[in-house]
Amino acid sequence: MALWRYVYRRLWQMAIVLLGISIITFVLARYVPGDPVLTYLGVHAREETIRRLRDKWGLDRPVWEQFFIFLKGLLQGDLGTSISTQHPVTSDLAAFFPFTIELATSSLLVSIIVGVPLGVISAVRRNKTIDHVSRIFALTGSSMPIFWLAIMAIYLFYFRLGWVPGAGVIGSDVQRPATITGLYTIDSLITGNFPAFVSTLHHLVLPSLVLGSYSTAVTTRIVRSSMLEVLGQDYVRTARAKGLPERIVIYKHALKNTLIATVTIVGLNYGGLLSGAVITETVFARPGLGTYSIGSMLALDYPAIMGVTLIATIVYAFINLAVDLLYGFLDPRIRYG
Amino acid sequence: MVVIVIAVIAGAYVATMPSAPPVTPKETTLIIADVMDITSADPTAAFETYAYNVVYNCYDRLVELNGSDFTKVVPGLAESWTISPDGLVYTFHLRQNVRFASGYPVNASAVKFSFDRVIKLDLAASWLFYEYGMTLNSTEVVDTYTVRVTLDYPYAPFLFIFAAPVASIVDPTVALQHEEAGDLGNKWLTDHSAGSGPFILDSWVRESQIVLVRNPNYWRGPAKLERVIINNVRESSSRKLAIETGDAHMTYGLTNEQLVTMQNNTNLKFVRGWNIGVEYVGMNTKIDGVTPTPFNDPRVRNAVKYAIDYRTIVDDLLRGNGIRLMTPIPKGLLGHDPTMVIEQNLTKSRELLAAAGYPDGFDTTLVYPPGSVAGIPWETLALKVQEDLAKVGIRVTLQVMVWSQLLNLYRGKKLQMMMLGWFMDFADPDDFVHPFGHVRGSLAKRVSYNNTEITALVEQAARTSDLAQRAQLYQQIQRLLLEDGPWAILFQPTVTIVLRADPAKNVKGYVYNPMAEWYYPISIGT
Repeated sequence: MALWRYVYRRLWQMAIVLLGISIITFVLARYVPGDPVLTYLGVHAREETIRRLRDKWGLDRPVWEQFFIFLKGLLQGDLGTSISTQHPVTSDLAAFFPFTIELATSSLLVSIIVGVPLGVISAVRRNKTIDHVSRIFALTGSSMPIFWLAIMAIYLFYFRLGWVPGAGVIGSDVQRPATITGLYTIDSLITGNFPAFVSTLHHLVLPSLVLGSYSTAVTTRIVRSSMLEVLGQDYVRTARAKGLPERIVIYKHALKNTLIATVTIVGLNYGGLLSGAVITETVFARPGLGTYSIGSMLALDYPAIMGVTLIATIVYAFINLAVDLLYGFLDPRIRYG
Repeated sequence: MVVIVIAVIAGAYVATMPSAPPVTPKETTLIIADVMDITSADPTAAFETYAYNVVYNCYDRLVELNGSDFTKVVPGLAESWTISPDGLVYTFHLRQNVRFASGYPVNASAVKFSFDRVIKLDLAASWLFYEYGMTLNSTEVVDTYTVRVTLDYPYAPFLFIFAAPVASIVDPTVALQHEEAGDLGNKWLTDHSAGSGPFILDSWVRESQIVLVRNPNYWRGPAKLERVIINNVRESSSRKLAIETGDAHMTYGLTNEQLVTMQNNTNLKFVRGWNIGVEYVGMNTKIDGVTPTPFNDPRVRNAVKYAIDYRTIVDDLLRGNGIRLMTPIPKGLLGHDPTMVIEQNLTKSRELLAAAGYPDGFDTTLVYPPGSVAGIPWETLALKVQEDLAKVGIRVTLQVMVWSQLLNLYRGKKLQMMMLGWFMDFADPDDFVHPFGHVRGSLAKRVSYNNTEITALVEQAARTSDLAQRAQLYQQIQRLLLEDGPWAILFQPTVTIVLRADPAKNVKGYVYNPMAEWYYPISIGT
C-alpha cells in the first residue's frame, strides 16, 4: 500500500513540476523577440493578414489569458495547432516521437549491451590491458564530438564498406508500414511487412551506434567504478572465503549491488536520448523530436514549443519515477513512504 | 532475464542483417536528396521553393513558364488568351476535355473557384493577388471554357502571376469534399493535392519524405517517371554521399568545397543554373522610420558600395557560384544589365565619407541570418563585408539572428544594416524593382527609402506593356538605384544541381527551371 501512496504522491508532484515548467516555457517563449506570424507569412505579409492570423491564433491577447487558454486545452488533451505545420501539435508529436523512441531505445540497448559487461570486465581485470583499453574507449566515447563521429561512421560503413544504409529511416524502395503505433519496427511486424522491418532495423544500426557511443562510455565508467567499490566490500570477501566460484561472486554478489548506480545512469541516459538527438537526426536524415523541437524554436512556433517541452518533461519525470521504483525492487532495504 | 531478452533481440537482429535488400531504386522512380522545408502544399499557402516543387508538378496553371526562358509565358490550361488594349481585361480560352487527377473536368468554374479561394483564404501566397488588385469580383465565368479576369488597374506583369504556383487550378469538388470549418479544403490540401498536373502528392512523412506518383490521366500524356521521391537530407555531407553511392539520382545545395572534390567523378553530371534572386546588404536610412542614420546621406550609402570588393566575393569566396550583379534585376529577366556594375574604389569611398562628415568613419551593426548562401556560410560573406568596410573606417559589428527575430526587427525598421537575399515571387522585373525601389515596396519601406523619381518610374514601367519601352524604363530605375539606393547588391547566386550520369541511373531530360523543378520530361536510363 505504501508503494501506491508513494506513486500517487509522486504523480501529484509531477503535475506541479509540469505546471511550473509550462509557465516558465510559456512566458519565456513569448518574450523572445520575434514573431511567429511573420515567420509563417514571410516578408511580404500584409498588415491585414498579420492582424487576422494574430487574432485567429489568439496572439493578440494578454499572455496570462493565452496561458489559460493553453491550460484549458491541455486539460482536454489539446495542445493547439502548430503554426508551422498547421497540424495539431498532438498529431505532430505522435508522428515524430516514435522515430525518437526507436532511435533512443536502440541506442540505450547498445549502451547496456556493451557498457555493462565492459564496465564489469574492466573492474574485475583492474589495471590489466583490457581495463586500459576499455578506459580509453570510454574516454574517447564520451569526448568525441558526435557530429564528427557520425560523419566518419557514415563515410566508413556506408560509403566505403557499404555495410549499412546512410541516411533515412527506411529504404526508398521499401513500402512504409501502415501507421498503427508510429514505430516502424512494431508496425511492420504487426502488419507482416517484413522487408520494412528489416530495412528499419538496418537504418537504425549506424545512428544507434553513434548516438549510443556517449551513453555506452558513461555506463562503462559508472559500472566500473561502482563495481570496484563493491568488490572491496566485506561481503564479497566473505563470499570468496566461502569458496564460491569467482563467476558467482562477481555476477551474483557484486554485480547485483552495482545495479542501483547502473539503473540511475541508464535512466538518465534514456531521458537524454529521448528528449532529442538533433545532431544524429540531422546527419542521418531522420525525423524526430530533436529536429521538430529545433524547427519549432526557430519558427517561434509557440504551441509546438510547449508540446515538445511537455513531452520532454513527462519523459524525464516518468523515467525518474521508474528508476526510483526499481531501487526498491533492487534493494529491499529501500522503503517508500 | 533482461540479458536474455537483449540477447534474443540482438540475435534476431543479427540474423536478419544479411537478408536486408540492397537499396536499389527502380528505374521509373526518381530519388532526390534535398532539404525539405515545406509547411504546406496548398497553392495558396505554399510560398517557398521546396513547396513550389510539389505544387508545380501536381497542379496546372492557365499559362506556364518554359524552362528557364522567363521572357514570355506559354499556354498551359489556357489554349489562348487576349488582353484588352487598356490592359485591364484578360480573357482565357481553356483547353477542352482536360480532367483533374480525380476525373472531374477542368473548366471555367474551377478557375473562378481557385482564384477566389486564394483571396478568401488570405494565406502566405495570397498577397500576390491582393497586391495587384484581384478581388472576388475580378474573375467571371463567361462560358464553360472561357474565363475573364478584370483588374482594377493595368499591371503589365500580371500574366506572369498567372504562371506562379499561387495561380494553380484546384479541383473544386475534391477541395470542398474535404472542407473543414469553411477552410475550402485548406487543411486537407496541406498534405494532399487536387490538381490536374502530371503528378499526385501520394504521401508526405514530415521531415522525412515526400512521394509523388504519376497521374495516369495527365492531359499531355502520363509522365515517364512513375514516382518521384524527395528525401529530406539536411546535412550536405550526407547528401553528397547519397549521390555518390547512387542512393539518390539528384541532389542540391552542396558546398563549393564539396563540388570541387566531385568534379572528376564520371558517374555524375552537374547542371549550373542561376537563381532568379539577389543577395544584398541593406542600409536603413532612418531607425524606426524616424531617427536618421549615417545612411540617410546618399554619399555614405555610396561609400559603402565603393568599399566592397565584389570581385573577390564572386571569384574567390563563391568560386564562381555567383554572377556579378549590382542592380536588382537578375539575369534571366527583362531589363537585366550585366554592365551596370562598379568596382571597389577605396579612395573614392573615403572621399565620399569625408564629404558626408564622417572622415573617421562610424560604428554600425550588420545583421545576417544563420545558414549559408550560394554554397558558403552567410557568416563568411558578413566577415568579408566587415573587413572591406573597416578599410574605410566603417566599424561593423556582426550579429547573426534567427529568421523569426530578424524579420520582426526588419519590418519594425530597427536594423541598421542587414544582409539577406531576395528571390522571385513571379517572373517579372517588377517583382524586383518594386520591393527595392518603390516607396511602398516591401523592402524599401523597411529602410525608409523614399525616392519619388524611382517610385514614379516603377509605376510607369508596371503599366507599360511595350517590352522595349519597359526595358528602357528598367535601365533608368536601375541606374538611379545604383547611384542613390540604400542597397549594396553583392551578387546573383547560382545553383549547382548534381545528377547521376552512369547508364543505369542516368537522369535524362532534366531542364533547369528557376521557379520550380518540373519532373514531367525526366526519365532514368540512357
